[in-house]
Amino acid sequence: MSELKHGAVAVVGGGIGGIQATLDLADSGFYVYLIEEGPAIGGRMAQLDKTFPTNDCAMCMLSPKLVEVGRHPNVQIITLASVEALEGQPGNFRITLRQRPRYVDITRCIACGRCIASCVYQDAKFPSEFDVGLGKRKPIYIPFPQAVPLAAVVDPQTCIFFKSGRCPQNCLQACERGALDFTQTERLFSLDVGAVILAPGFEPYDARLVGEYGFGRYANVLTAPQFERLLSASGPTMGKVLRPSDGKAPKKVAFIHCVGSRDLRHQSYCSAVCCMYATKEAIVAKEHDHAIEPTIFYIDLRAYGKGFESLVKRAREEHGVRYVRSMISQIIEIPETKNLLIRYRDDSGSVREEEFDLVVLAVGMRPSTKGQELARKLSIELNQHSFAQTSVFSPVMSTREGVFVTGAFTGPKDIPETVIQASAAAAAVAALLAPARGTRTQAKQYPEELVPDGSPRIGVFVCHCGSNIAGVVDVKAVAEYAKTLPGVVHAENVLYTCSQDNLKHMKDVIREKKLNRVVVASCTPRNLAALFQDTIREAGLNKFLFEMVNIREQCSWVHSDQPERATEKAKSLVRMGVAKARELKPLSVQSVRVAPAALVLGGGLSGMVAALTLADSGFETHLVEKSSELWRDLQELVCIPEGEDVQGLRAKLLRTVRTHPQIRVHTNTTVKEISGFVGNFSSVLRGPQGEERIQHGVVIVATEAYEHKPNEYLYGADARVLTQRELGRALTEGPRVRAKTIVMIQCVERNEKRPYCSRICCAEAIKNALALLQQDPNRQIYVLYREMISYSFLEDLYRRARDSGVIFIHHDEQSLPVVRKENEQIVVTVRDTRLRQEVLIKPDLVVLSTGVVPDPYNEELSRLLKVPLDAQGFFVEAHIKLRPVDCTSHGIFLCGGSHAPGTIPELIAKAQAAAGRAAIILSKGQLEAGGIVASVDQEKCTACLTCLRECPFGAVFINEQGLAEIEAVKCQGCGICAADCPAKAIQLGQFEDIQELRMLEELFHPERMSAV
Amino acid sequence: MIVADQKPIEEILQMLEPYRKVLFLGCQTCVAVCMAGGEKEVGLLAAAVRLARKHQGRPIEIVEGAVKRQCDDEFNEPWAKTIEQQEAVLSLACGVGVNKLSERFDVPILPALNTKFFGEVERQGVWAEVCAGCGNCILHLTGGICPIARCAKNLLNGPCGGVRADGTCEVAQNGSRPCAWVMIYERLGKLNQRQNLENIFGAKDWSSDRHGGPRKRIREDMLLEG
Amino acid sequence: MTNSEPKIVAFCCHYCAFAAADLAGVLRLKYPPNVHIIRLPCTGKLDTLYILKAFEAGADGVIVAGCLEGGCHFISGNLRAKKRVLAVKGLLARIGIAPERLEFFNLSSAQGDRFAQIAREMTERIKSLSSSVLTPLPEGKG
Repeated sequence: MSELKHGAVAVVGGGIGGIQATLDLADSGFYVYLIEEGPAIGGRMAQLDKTFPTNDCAMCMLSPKLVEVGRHPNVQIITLASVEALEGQPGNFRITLRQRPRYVDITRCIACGRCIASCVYQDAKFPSEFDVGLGKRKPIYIPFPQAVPLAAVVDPQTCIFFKSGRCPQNCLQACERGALDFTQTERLFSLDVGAVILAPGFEPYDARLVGEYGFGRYANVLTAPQFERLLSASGPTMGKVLRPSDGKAPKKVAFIHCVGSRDLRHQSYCSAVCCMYATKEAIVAKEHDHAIEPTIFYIDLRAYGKGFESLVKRAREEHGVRYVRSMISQIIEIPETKNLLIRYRDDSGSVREEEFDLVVLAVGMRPSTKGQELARKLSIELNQHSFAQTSVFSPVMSTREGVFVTGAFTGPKDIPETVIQASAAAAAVAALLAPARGTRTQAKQYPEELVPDGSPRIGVFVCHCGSNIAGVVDVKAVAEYAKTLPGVVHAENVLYTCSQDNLKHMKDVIREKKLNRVVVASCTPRNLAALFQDTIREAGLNKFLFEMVNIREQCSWVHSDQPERATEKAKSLVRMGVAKARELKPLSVQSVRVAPAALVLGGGLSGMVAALTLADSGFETHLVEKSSELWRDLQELVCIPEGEDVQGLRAKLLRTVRTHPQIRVHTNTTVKEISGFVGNFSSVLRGPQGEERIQHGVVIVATEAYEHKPNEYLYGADARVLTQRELGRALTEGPRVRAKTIVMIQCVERNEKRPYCSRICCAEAIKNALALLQQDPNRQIYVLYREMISYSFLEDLYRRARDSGVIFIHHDEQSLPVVRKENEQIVVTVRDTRLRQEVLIKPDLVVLSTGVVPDPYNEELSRLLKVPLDAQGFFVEAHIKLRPVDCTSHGIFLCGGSHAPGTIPELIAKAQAAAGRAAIILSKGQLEAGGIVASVDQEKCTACLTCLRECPFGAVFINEQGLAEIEAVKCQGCGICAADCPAKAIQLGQFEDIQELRMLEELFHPERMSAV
Repeated sequence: MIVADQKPIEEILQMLEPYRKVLFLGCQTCVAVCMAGGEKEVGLLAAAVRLARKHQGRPIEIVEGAVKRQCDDEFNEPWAKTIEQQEAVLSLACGVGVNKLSERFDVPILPALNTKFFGEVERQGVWAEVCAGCGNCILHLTGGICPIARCAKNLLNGPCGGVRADGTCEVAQNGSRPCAWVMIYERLGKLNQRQNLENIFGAKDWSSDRHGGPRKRIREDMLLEG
Repeated sequence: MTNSEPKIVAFCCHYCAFAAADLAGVLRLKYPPNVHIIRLPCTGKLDTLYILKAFEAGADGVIVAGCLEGGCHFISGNLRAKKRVLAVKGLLARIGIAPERLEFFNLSSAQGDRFAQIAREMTERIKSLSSSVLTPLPEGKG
């Protein structure tokens, strides 16, 4: 291609979506500018306490990603910045940014907090954005403890200096690093990028606008984001659930759903996540304080994602969360107690009044103002709800070529959907900019490693961290003490170990004193270990000959009240670190070549999209389909959006896939065997022309899910009973449906064996009902349902169906509809929960929404790939929130119905995401193996198979000698095998037994302790 | 494989009471696989015994080691010098290892394990007895399922009256063990060999089992002497 | 220093408890300096031997702190560790060491306060136990 393309990308928005897109691109050879409006990346997810459906800690998942972005050589984070303009063409854009001043130099700030402590405001008095106003901050503050970049920021709106110009500016004096700079000004600058990804996210709906709930007037009415902060251990109450009015622990807590959502006065659409987050918050609240009695008031309980149903079940059965299906029209505050009175209709239909101590409003998602502004500045179109306009077949493409959109900017969605879209957008960008891959990134060169010979020569650097450590710990004494320890040939104090000048000094000392081990006693290794490892590597040492001792977060900061004992502890920790350092060994990291091809299993919609995305990125792709045709019928596509030309899409996809030079289509083909590991798989395909062995670096499982064929409701026994898809086909292909009275039954045969929501049937039923009415408006259509799952914008369709006269009848899970034949008449009876009586309908057509089941072929694939299926036969992802399309086994990715049911745009995004994740591996060319991995001493191994059975990553295999061996590329370094090996034949690098035991021996070593 | 169990720590401490200098010698074969006497267990047991003895005010000096197979002299030989310097050896091998060391060394060899049976790994952490080593194998007639080892009453001609309706054995608590003869019946069905059941076994000759006294096997062609 | 101060080792998972201890520092929470952290990549790496060796080395108490159940970075390491700790507690009781000196905790990286609380609680707990790790054995044992 002659046209110049830039190998850099602008990602706008530093929430989880922007972060995922950034990491995917930066890992696959592109330079990324991550542009964030606020002072730190992390977005809404950083504010969450837990995430549904597993109730995992949000910060535990997010924080490592934040650090990774912060340290990534191919990422530049630009905070406090907004986009002003975008000029140029796809591949060759110029983006103009406006960056507000931070007044703090992030390269100097060490987030010690001294400036904050010295601020003229003795008390924090301004509402903290991070704590949604429940907590307070000062004008100078650190956004949150895990913030990246981890640096203070000055808010000029509240800072006295900016407001009055009269301020002693104590902060300037307090900062020992000279990091504060009040002369900074706004900056306008431009960057050359090849593509743009917009991930500005959403805003919670402003609960004040829903006046009847009294938010802002009633002290004890909170929004769900606020309640989330109350639940958070790092929140304003340290995780205690307390009422704002009196600081007392509430007992009865009500959650009100659909605040601002599904309401024509506010937002017509469903916000898609509130049902689940409210359930999560109810459970977590109960876990924090068992006395809490949560009640959830809901309209429809939309538990439609993977694992959602079981979370709701647990909430009901194990945690005693009470669910009441009732819309709440008003909350009344009782002035004396500040308790809240809620009037609702109970199951028996009678209206009751109940008092609650606290009310949580499950506020919906609204399009963010900055997103709308972005759209205007970048000339991209928004939909009728002011979210980014996308098409069903291009779910992450904006209306402007080269500009991609992702996450809640495209509509309400949860974290996994956001992560999927982010990876999909990154994949689309990688395909667009494929020729420019690697043009803006640089691999760092290191000197050749010195092989440590002879005895340990350890250098110990004890950091003052200004006064952060030195103010409590006698750091000079610690360094002096370190000199007395065996193996230590150099020990010194450093003001700031992490400063550029010291890093250079450290390298000089390593060379001068011929150090072969380095110990740094400073802050947590979680942030800076990689920096120091890189430094010693620059000085020619293996990076694993390094140990870090945490005497700040885990010593001076927590023991500032006992300086003597803190010093004593610091010495003990250093003694322990030195003991480990004496035993450190260099670990080698080998490069393994990656076979630059992909194997995609399943030639349906998802398989074709995945194959095309990979092929467009420049990678050879084998597309394997067991039947004779790609996308043989529309079987998997039960939810075809109205007005969309699916046949057209299919024809176009088929044409492109068939003619793409990088795609090899194998129809009538199955996989006979798959061996190898990430980067180097070897598979045998069995097709009409016999067997063929192919080498490939990645596998994408793209089998689809199929409509379940029911056994009940006269299906198969009476031609007037159809499935929803059969009706759909009749509506598009004929013969013409003649029925006048039609009953649709939802959730057919959804039971203990098939407990999950299939996600698409409600929309399918609504769409078909509308189509039937369009043919003949005089039809009577009844939809019998348990919960209507018309999430996100599908809610509009649901509303239209109700307005058009479709009658929706709710029934309990316990009282299912009955279909029988009286003479030749079909009779349907159901107990309507609203009327509280039996309803009898005599339809001339019954349509069953039966949901979807995974491809039975999954079982064989699961065996071949050695990756697990869940109880329902779907593949299990590596992490339900942040790695939704990865398998636990590296190099294997999931999309299509193989992983979970989905609508067409969801399946397309998932296929693109899987392809993008796979392309990261292929684009590297080489993978690093080794470092902190386990290895088996072949002399000692007795082949008991414990490790083989225990390894969560399938990294252990039995070699030709009949002994266990660990595939370094697959090993994740957890050490489970090393701990359980009965022959003590396994050691984990950097955590060897000898290293750990020496630390223990030295920690309380009586002689050396007396030397303290 | 031979399946063994570690003796209760109290019993081990009692055995070790007279001694202050002891070698704990593990075996890296069967008892390592069944997690009773490999190098890992040696370390754990030694640490536990040291702690207990320190507490009793009678510290003990323990040398820790493990050999490939204690039932072979050659593997034990490198330890000869160490063993001779000890007051006793605590063997974490099966009984065979203890015997073997006792034959070779004039130091008390103490058993740390109770040797239990020949077993299979049912799943990680569970070992089950499936062969009794009776010396007269009939597995080809019983579908590969041994009625001697797996029937509590060693019955050879079908189940006793104690088989429960659900096919479990009356001897095992709460139906935790299937009746060996129900298993044999089903297995033979799968193999189309139910006719085997018509074959009546006479009274079993137990002389090939332990009942005939200690056993020995000699393979003449492999003898090096003579 | 006073000799009566109990010495405690905390084996902490890098991803959760170690991060929680860092957060306790960032939040400037206070807890007794008795607790010394040893970082593990995952509590799944915790060899039962380390616990016994810690007591042998002179520790008066041992904390093992892994991720919340379901939250293990390596899927099941924390569950393995929990079982191991339970087994060692049984052994400790039989060799005359109060099993309360060893405890397993699940916590997330966001629970800085919980870490500080655990450190305080364990220090108090161990102070309240008899001064020596080795409490007298019951009669007739050992």
